[in-house]
Amino acid sequence: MRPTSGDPDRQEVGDQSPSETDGAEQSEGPRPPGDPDYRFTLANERTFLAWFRTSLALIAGGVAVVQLVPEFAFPGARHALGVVLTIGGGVLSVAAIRRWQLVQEAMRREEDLPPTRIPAVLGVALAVVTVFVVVLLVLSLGRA
Amino acid sequence: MTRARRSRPPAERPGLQGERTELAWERSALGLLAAAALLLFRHVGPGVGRVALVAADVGLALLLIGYGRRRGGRIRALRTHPDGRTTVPDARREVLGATAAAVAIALGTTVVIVLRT
Repeated sequence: MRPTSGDPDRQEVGDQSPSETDGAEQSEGPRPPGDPDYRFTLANERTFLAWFRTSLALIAGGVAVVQLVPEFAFPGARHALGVVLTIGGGVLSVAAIRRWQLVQEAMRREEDLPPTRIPAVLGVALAVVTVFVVVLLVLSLGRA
Repeated sequence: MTRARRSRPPAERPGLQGERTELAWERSALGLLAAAALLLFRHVGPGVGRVALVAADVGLALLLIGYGRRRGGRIRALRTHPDGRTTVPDARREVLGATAAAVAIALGTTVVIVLRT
């Protein structure tokens, strides 16, 4: 997806740096040229929030594993799982803000959006956790 | 006049964008409340840390709701530039605040889990 400004004649120029330095708080007063259409800004914000909720779900999942799941046959495995999920949530929220920033910058410069590996990494990590949990459950059954 | 009316700049008819964005912030606050509820479910870790974490969760949930309201307000005050673009300030501060909150919650939760029982 390539966001466009309302003015096709506007040239790609290198004078858009002011918009990078003045932050979100100068709400009053028009934005310097270079800001993307408001719908793109808001879509990027909501995408960030979707990742942010994913990271909160990981953190809550970590708490849930410790609070609600009975102990596996291996003492400590449950808490280790909880810690892994919780730290994963923290890492994911940092990845989310980085992604938000890269996308916002790309839109400002009217470039293509940068590629992301976050979904792939998250998918692989969740698959690994799933296999780990299944193995733990099977081994726990064997010991019960 | 109908034509002029139809081509009004988006600033005058932002539609559902603001509502959707505000709701996205509020849904995120619900995630924090879920984490708080789970922490209260059973005793784990030192009581003081747990209660502090729950309080932090609830406080940050309120913060996110405030962020959402603020973003909604921004959206109702859209700017249309002379060249026809309509923009809204990006949510730099809100995004940073939310991320800092999530990292702090993750660290606090990890500590509580590690200092279990």
